[in-house]
Amino acid sequence: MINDLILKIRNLEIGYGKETLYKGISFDIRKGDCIMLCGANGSGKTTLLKKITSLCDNIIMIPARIPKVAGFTTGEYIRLICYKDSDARGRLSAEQEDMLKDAIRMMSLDKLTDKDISLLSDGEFQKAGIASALARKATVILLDEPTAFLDAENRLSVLNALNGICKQTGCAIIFSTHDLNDGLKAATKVIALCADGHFRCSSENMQETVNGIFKGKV
Amino acid sequence: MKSRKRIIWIWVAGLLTLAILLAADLSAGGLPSVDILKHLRLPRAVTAILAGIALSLSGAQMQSIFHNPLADPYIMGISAGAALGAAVATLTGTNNGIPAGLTIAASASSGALLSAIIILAVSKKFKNAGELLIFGIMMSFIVNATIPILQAGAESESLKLYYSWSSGSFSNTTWLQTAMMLTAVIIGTITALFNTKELDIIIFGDDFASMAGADPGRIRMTALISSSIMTGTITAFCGPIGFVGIIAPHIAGYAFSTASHRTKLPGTMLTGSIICIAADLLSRTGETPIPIASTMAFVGIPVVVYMLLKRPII
Repeated sequence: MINDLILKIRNLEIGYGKETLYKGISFDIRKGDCIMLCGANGSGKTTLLKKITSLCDNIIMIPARIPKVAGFTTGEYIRLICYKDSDARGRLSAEQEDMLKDAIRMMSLDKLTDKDISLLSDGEFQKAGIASALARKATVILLDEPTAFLDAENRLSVLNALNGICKQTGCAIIFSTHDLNDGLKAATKVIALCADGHFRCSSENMQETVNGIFKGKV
Repeated sequence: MKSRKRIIWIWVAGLLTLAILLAADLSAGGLPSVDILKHLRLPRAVTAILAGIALSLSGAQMQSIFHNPLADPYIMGISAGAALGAAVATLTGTNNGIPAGLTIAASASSGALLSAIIILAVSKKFKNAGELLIFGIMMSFIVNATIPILQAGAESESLKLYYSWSSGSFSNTTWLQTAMMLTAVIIGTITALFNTKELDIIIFGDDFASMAGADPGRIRMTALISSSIMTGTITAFCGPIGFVGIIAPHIAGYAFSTASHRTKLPGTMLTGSIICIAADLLSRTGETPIPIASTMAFVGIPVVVYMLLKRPII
């Protein structure tokens, strides 16, 4: 069990500027964890994710609302994230090409690699973002609201993909979301930024933890 | 896809060659003498090409770093800085014995450089591209408010001089000036071409750039330095020339159907040079030459409006 540990977070503090939002945030990130992060609007979900990104090297955060810029194919878009490892003509090493292909296959984007990203559905575009994180062999992938603006079908498809990644690759995922019910189906652990100023984390009583979000709200 | 791109490259290169031949030879009817060719036509054609490369490449970089399809050095206030420099040199009427053209050029260069330095200095303070864009536009406003004040107290001779600079022209450049512009364009182009992968990434936003492990501030800084070196030098010798910086990147992106800078930037450079040579040819076909800025606006505005209506740009 101990060997599974990727990152131990202890007594983390988050806030905007001088104002502290939450103190004493402590939880473990283990291999294969699919963690749902929930909280009201403005509770500090994105701030917490950004903070976690800065804690360790091999963490990649996929931001919310990346614009779908016309003029790039899905393949080119996924490749962009490996830009530091590519040569002047944009070519990657054979090993990295394989990783890229695996990531694309895992997200079932094989048929879409030559399609312009502006023509992808929001769900497919989100998956392309996840594929790029996989291609970089991240041990922890953070996603800021991957299900925002998605319809029910796309939402489930993205969440299932997240759960599948955790099981297959053993990397850990933390995703923030407002779609609590759908999120619970995919998550193995829940962390909640609650209105009463407390931080809650649980892998057993997930539903109860989620219910705690709005507790203490006046 | 690949073969289509090759055909476009050949087309564009052919068009450019034709434009250069036209610009150098046939515009005034009959074959020119070697002297005219050497001292008037060729420098003029080379100047137009350099201006086209510099302004369109600056425009392409600025549109990408500011996520704004209408950004270019003109809008960001770099051209305005050059204009202020030129206005100060001509309108305050300092007569120091140096030829007027050279004084304007030096002063306009300093103005462009100064506004670029101000933009670079404050760019770290701003969190996002939108704020920086607003700052640039505000700088343009201040400059545009200052020039009429200078004009009010100026003599008619210096007003004439300022007007002829501000309407823009590719003519009357010497080989020395051309060499200076060439140096600036080479530096700016190399900087831009080394930044292509980073420019691809910054299009998707600052957060995306950070996710890819890039530094958005540094990407923006590199692009701004490249743009201001080129724009400053070109504006100093040719006057403020708008539109080519906005439309060339869009035409290139449309023709090559890609937003990837590795293809788009070279395409933009070629397109920009063709536009400038064509505008120059057009502006001197009539009895009295039309200022290049006017030709550019008459040709440029319909193209921008057409593209806006036809499809969303960027």
